Amino acid sequence: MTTRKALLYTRYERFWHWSQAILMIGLMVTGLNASSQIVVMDFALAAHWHIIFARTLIWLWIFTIFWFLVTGEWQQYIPTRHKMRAMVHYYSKGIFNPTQHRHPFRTTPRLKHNPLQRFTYLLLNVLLTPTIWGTGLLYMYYFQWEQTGLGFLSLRVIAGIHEAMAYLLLSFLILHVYMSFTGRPVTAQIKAMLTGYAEIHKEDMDMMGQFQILMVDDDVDFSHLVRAWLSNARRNPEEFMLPAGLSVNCVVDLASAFYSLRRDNYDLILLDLNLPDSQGLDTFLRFHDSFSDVPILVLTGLEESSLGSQAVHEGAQDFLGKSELNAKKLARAIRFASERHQYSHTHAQQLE
Amino acid sequence: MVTKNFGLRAGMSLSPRLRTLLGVVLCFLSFWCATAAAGVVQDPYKAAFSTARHSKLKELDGPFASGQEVTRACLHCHTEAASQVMKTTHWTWQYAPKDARRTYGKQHVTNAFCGSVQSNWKLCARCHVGYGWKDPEVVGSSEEQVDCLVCHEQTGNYRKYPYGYAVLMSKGEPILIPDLPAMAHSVARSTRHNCGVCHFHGGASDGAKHGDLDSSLVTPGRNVDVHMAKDGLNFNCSVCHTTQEHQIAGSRYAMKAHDTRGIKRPGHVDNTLSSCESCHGATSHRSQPLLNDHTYRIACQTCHIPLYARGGVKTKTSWDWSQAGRPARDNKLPPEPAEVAATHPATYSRQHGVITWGENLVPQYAWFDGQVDYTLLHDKIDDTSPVPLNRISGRHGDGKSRIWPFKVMKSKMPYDPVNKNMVINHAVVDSVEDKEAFYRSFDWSRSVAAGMKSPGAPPFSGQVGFVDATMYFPLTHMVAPKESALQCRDCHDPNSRLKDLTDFYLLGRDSSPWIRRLGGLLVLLTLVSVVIHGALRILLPGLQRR
Repeated sequence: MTTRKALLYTRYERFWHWSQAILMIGLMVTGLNASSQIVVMDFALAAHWHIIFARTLIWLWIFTIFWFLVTGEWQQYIPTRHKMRAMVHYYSKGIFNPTQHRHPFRTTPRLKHNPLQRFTYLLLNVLLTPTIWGTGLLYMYYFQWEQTGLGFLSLRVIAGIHEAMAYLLLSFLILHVYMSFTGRPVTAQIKAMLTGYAEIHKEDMDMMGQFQILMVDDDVDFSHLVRAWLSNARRNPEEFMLPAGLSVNCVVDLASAFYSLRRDNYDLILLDLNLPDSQGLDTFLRFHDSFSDVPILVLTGLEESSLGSQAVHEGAQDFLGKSELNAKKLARAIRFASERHQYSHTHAQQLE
Repeated sequence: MVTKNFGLRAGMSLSPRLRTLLGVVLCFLSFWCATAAAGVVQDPYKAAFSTARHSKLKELDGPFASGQEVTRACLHCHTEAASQVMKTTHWTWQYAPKDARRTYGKQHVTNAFCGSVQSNWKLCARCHVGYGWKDPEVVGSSEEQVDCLVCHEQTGNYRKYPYGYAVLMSKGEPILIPDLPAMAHSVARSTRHNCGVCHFHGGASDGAKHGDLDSSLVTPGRNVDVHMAKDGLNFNCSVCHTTQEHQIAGSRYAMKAHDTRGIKRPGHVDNTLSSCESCHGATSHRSQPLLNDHTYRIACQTCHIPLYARGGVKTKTSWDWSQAGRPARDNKLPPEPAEVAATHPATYSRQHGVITWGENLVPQYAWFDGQVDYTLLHDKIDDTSPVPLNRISGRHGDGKSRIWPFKVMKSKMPYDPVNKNMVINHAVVDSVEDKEAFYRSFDWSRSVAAGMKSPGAPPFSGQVGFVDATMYFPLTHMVAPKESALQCRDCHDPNSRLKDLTDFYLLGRDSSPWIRRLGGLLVLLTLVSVVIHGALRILLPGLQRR
């Protein structure tokens, strides 16, 4: 079974997750201390830090909500019942027999949360967190209640709700920490949350019915041309026989290409060898070394056919002269490259 | 004939050598007294920053045969002084609260110490700023009756004799005339000593009454009072109790429990500095801003007077009059619980009954909006529970009350069990002919009957019972240095100092037990299921393999 290292959690997500974890644990300790349920420090210190942690967390959340909105990552929290039953079944039964049962859900950068996680995190984000913050803010400004017309509120009730939410959060925290050790290997999820990378099953990365091409070329006009050819070709499936659900993403240099390849699963790379940050055969070798499971079609300029054949020798699927390229040729090359790759892939699996 | 009371006639017959020796000893003694007094009282001229040195005024040379004559000399220049004084509560001993039907003030209220001023004028009037108060009607008769010296003389030798005279009288004749010209020459702005003569000694002895006012405040250490400390700010009483036209700011009868006007600057409505906020404002905790939120509901005094009676002078904590009057041979005290005896040692006298004393005491706390109501003689009392001789008004959430510290005096006072009201006890012996006074007759029914003949007193049934009574004294003096102030935990804790104030939710003290129980259960269940699940994950695969 092929796995691939993929970037599951970006730098900001990790920063958010861990700083929130620290702040919440800090809030938990200082809160329990201030309400006389544990005594590890002076009351003044507990109250002081509880407020500082709370204010910091609010700022963190303002940034994070912004991040979720602009990246569209908020969609990760849309609840679904798909595979829910299987999930419950797995955690209550299958997990005790790991050699026989696989986790019914496998994480990919596109779908980071299993249905149970989606449900739990949504509950956390729309119910628990807003409630504990609302009551916390009211608590913080208790001395201004009368002046601001909030005199009808009862501190006993507000404090009670705040504390009840804290207990729910503490239960969540215990469960959450435990669940993070249910990966395979046991520490896989912790490692992913720390480094951002996880071993992702290749077939999990393949989007159902999708064929994603990464076009790597600093000549943006040419990239547009390619994209136009392919979108025309898509409208004519009988003639061009392209894979279904084809889409093209364009990047202009090696760095952004590598970033995209780590975030998403691509079925094919269209690679110009001369990029701003890498030139010649070296460009191909670097792609091939890092993403050996993705077929690469090398695009060459007028004088570069020898470079192209060198690349094919090193493992590229094919090379195409840019100057004599047209929609038909490109479609053919794409079809053959993907089929060839598919074949060798299944062959390798059978050998295994 | 005058000297016979002083036993000096015996000295007349002493040998000349002994007489010389006595003279030398007396010289030494008077010198020592003078220097000792000088150590306490500064040069009054310097202390007053005055443009006039009263010691240079020929008008004050005397001779003066009475206090009134000194006053006449004072009024010669200070033409308005007496009429100003006569408008103050220092003179009237009356205070009209908002409810105009009632009249409070020393003249009218019953206190938890000696009982009433009425019918005990002989001793009580010694703290009146006038001369010769024998019955309430006399006061206000004449400007000469105002006693300037008691508040302004600085020799420290001034005494007030029965009925507040400056001269000791016997059978209408003066038998002791103090050096009034020297005292008149010494006058200056009032010092702590002047105020303390009465305010430190209320309740029949030093520190007895208030708990935060006693002679230790004349030269206190920093720990006793951070403002009055001799090696610190060294404030006189009048630095805070600012005075205009002899009206002194800051009265227990008209208290400002929450001064919201903040730091006083020229142009303020009044010029009084008697609240903490008038100098410090309400938000002066710069390094701990969280505390500034508290000043809205917590009086400064609550945290900054952690204990009262801290100056080494004990204050009275309870007074049981019902034990008074038993013959000396029968004055064995009822046995006391050991812990009371240790912290509140008791004293017994036939005159006063059982009094307990304490120092370094933890205040009681209550919501207080500044208004105090008193149980007057005509008020019907409920004798089944302790009678509140004064009532602190205020509650949480009324928008004006703050939590204040109090000394609560607990006494057993005589009352009329038939008519259900407090009574006037005629305790002080007026004259040789007075056989009714309690201090002579030790007979409650006789002394109370005599007391209840005072003008305006309610009818007396002839029976005397004893009822528990309480009296609240807001604490505001003996402000400790900030490092000795209360810590958060003193209140935010299950063993809170505020555990009796249950009408609000206090973080760290209160909890919602059901939320804690359910929440704890939830956390526990989560932990247990996680542990079981984890254990099964480790154990089951091994078992299946086998």
